[in-house]
Amino acid sequence: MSRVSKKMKYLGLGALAVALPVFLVACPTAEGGPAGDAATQTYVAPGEYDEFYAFLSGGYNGQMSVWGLPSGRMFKNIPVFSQDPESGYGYSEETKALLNTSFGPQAWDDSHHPHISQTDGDSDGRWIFINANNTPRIARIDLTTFETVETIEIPNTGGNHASSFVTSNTEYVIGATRFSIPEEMDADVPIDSYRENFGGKISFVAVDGETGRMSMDFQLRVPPYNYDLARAGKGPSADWAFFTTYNTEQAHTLLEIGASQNDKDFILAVNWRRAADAVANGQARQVPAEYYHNYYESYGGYAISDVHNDVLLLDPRDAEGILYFLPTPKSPHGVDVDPSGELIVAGGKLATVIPVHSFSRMLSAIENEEFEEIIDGIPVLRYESTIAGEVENPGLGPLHTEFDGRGNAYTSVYISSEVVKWSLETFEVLDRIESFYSIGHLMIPGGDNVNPAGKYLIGMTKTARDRFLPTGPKQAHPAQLYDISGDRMVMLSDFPTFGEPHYAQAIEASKIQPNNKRIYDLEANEHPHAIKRTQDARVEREGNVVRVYMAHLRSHQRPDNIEGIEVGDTVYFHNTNVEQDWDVLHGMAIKGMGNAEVLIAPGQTKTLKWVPTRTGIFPFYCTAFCSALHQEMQGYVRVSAQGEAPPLMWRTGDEQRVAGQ
Amino acid sequence: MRKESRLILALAALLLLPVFFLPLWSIGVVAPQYSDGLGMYIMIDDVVGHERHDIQNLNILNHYIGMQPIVPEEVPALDIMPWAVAFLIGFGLLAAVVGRRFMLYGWLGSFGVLGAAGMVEFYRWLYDYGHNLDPTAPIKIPGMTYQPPLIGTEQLLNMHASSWPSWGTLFITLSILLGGLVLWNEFRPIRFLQWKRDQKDRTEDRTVRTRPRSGQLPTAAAIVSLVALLGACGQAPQASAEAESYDQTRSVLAGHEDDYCGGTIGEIRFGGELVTTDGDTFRFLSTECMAGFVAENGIANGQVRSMKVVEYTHGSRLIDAREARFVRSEQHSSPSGLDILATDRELIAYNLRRFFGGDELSWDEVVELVRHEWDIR
Repeated sequence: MSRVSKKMKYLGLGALAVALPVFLVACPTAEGGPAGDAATQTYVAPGEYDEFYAFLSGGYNGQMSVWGLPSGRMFKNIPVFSQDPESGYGYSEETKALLNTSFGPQAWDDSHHPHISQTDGDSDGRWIFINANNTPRIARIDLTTFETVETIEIPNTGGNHASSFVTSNTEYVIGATRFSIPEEMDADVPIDSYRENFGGKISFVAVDGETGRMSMDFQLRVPPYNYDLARAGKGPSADWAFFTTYNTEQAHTLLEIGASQNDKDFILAVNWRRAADAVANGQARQVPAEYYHNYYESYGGYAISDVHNDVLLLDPRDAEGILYFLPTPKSPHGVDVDPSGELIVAGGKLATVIPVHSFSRMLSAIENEEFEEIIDGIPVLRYESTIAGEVENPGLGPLHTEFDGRGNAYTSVYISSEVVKWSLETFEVLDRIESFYSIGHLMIPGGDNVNPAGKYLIGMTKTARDRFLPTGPKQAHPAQLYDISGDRMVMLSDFPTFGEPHYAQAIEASKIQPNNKRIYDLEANEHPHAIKRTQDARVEREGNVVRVYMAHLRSHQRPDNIEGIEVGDTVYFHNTNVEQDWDVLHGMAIKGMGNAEVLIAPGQTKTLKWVPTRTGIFPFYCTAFCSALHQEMQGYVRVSAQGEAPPLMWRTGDEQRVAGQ
Repeated sequence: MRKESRLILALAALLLLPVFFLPLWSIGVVAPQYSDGLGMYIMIDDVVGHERHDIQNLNILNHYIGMQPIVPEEVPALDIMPWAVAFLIGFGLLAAVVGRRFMLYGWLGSFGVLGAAGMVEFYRWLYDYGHNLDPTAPIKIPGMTYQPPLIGTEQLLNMHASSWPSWGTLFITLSILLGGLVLWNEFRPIRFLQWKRDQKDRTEDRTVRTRPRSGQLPTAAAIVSLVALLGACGQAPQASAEAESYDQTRSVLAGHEDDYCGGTIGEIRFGGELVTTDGDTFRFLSTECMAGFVAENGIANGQVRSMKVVEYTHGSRLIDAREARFVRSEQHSSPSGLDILATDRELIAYNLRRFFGGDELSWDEVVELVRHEWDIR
């Protein structure tokens, strides 16, 4: 009896000890606002700026959104792999080519992992890359304009998931096949011949250090597993890249069970520097591979597509010392390299520990040939030879890890829905905090590079359930912002996001803000259908193609009356915004156009294609509220029946012109 | 002319050289959408934007109200001014070399005439710019013209325009001031500053001739220029901070006892303060308490030095109760129950009534209301 009551007493004291701090924290402040500290830490006063830019992948919207931290305010949504009717991206003649692939134009994709270009392992803020998972591609976004400027297709690949991670001087941006597919392009084989016919590809896309222009450098042939995530090394491991694998069981149906049987899958370590040398020495062979490379050749013109028909493929059986497997429990998801470049952390999705490999131990294991076996020319190192430690009790379903630069790692844990902080020295768990709900990726500004700004962490979660005012069965995906500057993590805010963010990146605003472009320079506009002066506005006919060189400025289009167009013509409105004033945009749309508007930034030329199918008078207007007389910014096109059109003429105010006169 | 006069005159002429590179005048506008401002520099032979595209953007904005676009090629003064300044430099140097006083007078005279003509021409251009409006302009406001001030600031519709002399004009000013100094030096019976001592030295001992310290005067002039340069021509002056800050008003009222209703003043938004001609200060937590105090004690206007209430929406400005508009709105609850809100803005009073209902009252009506409601005799 006495023991029980003693226990009860302790329980009571314990409850009090817990309740007291909870009460102190929960007690509203005198102003009646939320707990004062969290509110002031995320509050960015009107007219002031956030400390960090954050780039959240859009997931299944194929886009990427731009946010401020710590406020959690969204600034922009950048269309990348999806048509965007709001801006005309993928609809305008200039941008259509950016969505071209060897499977035809793709109106949609699934973008997961943005990665900012790096110099010496640190984010430099020049470009940000992002992958398309479904029809494998990598895109480059220019961080002076926040616009997608280039896309490249990754050939012979199924699901470019382990992408788009850059090496520490942006020598390469990497891609890998998540779904192994037949090695031969377009091969028509039974699915159950998986083991015989299927294979994996690891891709290295070279990035020009000056222009950022991408090119498909080479691919590596790897066994038919699923290659899930990747990271390049840094510092001592800068010449290496690491990929997680699952489905080493090589299941091709019901992977849920079939790919979860092995106690250990692998981390694939790739010495990309040596691979590039081997390719340069002619050890790779050319294999058929159709892929598109889409980019702007000139300043402000049309995006164009180059089509390539082969790719250099390096087989590890032909070149030693490039690929190694590190056995890792169990269907590892994320693979993350600590700021020193020495520790390689795996998110053992189904494992009970977080395994941490040592880069230096890996090198000595390679040197001493501590191999368990060799698979398709790839030595498998012994687990005991590479492991540096295991983090015990990390929670259920550890996925991704980032670092604060102070010797701590933070791992997202999906099933137990929490962030776990642990020591890179002792591998002991130091703190844990819940997420709402089921966290996927987490991100610390710079937390993946050599120089983390270990102040904030955001966790991007997969389901909101009851967190916000409900919006029907489908809710926005939330993100939680944590303060990680102290010993204990503190949650600061919880905000809905756009699309389904997977990974994100953040960077000090000071690395981007000074380079921001306010206008496109009209004088430098190299668009073949641009007009530099309003006087050059005109209409031209070439057969049944009519080109309208239209000037847009506050508050009229020039010309704004057009006659002489007939059914069967193809009309291109080449819209040039001749203004040079920041954030003064014009838009263009015409009735029944079967297209999306184009939004035209100052100094830019954007082309709207229109094939009129009926006769009549078609109003067009400026779709972007540009000025006090925006509502007056409108015009008419007359469409006549075939063969009955009057001579081509156009008018603006008193000025009237007829083609050829 | 005295030797130092000729040196100063040469310096004065040379001070006009920077005028070829530096703006003479700077005209700027700030609007809600253009917090960084747009503006133009009047150069000796050109009009250029503060930023690369400012002229284009000003022209676009101004076309709505019918102002003619600025086309520097079409401003005749800009063709003449470089020649005028070149003439003054040449003439000044020549006068310094020749050293005849009549040339000094000629230089000063032509400087004055050309300067005055320049200002008149500049004013004429500004006048034309602001008054020569296209009759078909989309926005026409009867009686409104848009001439930027010659010097100073002015509110033109949504634009806060400012116009100030710039660096070039500063050099012109320094040049003419030095010209004046020359004149003064010429008619001063004896040389001044260091020159006086030099002369004394020379008269006392003609064999030990000290080197004239001719560097000193230009140095002094340079210092004057530098100080003037440093203090020169900011853009628009800062608008004075509006009214009292919250903290100030709070310190007047918060924490004090209410002198009529009793109790401590916490929320200051409804409060008021009355100072009598005797210098006694009374503080109140609400308008109605102050009105009650006035009603109960029969305080006449003559006994009041100031009687202020806190403007409700702003929450920190003290406004004159006798000028204020009061709204009795049952949707708000004041600490003393009569729900009287004070403001000095017609629009705010209108909106308070529109959104929350209630009547608008003057101060005297408030006093009567309180007398009635609280049954004060």
